[in-house]
Amino acid sequence: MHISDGILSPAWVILWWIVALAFIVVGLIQIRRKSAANPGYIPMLALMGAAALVISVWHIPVPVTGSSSHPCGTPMAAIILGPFPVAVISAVALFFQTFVGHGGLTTIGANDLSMGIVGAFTGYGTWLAARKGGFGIFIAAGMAGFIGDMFTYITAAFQLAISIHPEALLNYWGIFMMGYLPTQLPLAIMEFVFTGLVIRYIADVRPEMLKWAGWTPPTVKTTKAIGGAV
Amino acid sequence: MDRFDRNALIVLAILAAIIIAFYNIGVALTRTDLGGADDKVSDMAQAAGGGTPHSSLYELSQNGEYVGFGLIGVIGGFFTGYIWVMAFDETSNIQRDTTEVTRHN
Repeated sequence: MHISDGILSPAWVILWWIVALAFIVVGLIQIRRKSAANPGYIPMLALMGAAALVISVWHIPVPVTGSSSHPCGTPMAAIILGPFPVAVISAVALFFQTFVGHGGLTTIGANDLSMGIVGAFTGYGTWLAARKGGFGIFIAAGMAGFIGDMFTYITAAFQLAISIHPEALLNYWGIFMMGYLPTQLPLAIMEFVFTGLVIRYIADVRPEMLKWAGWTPPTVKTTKAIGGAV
Repeated sequence: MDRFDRNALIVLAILAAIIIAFYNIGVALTRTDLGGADDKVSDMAQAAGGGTPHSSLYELSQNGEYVGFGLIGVIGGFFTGYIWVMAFDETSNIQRDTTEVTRHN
């Protein structure tokens, strides 16, 4: 979903920047508040930022489609840090990625919106809904990773379509989605697996970290969960 | 070598093997260079009437991209590994919330 410079019209570049900056400002406020309450928050913020940086340049070839792509890592980060701070770390990661030609400088706003905001919020929302629905941690986090990944690319396709052909938005949205999704679908499944594994690991080793994003684990220790205790 | 180091190296080896295998299978199946989907969609966007994709900073050569992406992976990986130990090691100085450690499914 890394949109390069020059593709989007200037008006849309500016609009996506305005939207992204609003989330980044709220994210910075939340980072300040959460780090004051939890000394371990800043190291995890740095860890998730580094992980998102690496994961989103991690081109994995998909043999049957003839192209490669990358997972996002932002749904995983949102489960731990909360979705607003992920807008901040994603913007930082995207900035560094411009130095290797992965995404544009002017399109950091647009790319942050798709990966760091939509990916994070849909992933986090899926996590909350799945946990409330009784799914186990692995399955809930995995679903968050999958949904967040898919919505990242759906958003990127939307951004291209609305900038280039707003009069035929649905048609071109579909065309650009078909450009992304065949390659992205297997990688979203991979994101399901690693998000589930990482969050499961954190739930076992440092369960208090999962409260930082505002999710409160159930007080009943033996809650029966759909999907089991994978 | 402790268990964490061994498991991390095993994961590294498995991922590298998968990526190499997928690349070779993909080249054999599709006869393409398995370029990035982002680049393909950028070309689609340009063909559909969007602007010309370019870099505002500088254009990297193919080898330059390999080096650049590799560098980002190495630096990000070192950060991740260093902070992972700091965050999850039993002896870390990060304050632990021990008041409500609940094992849950």
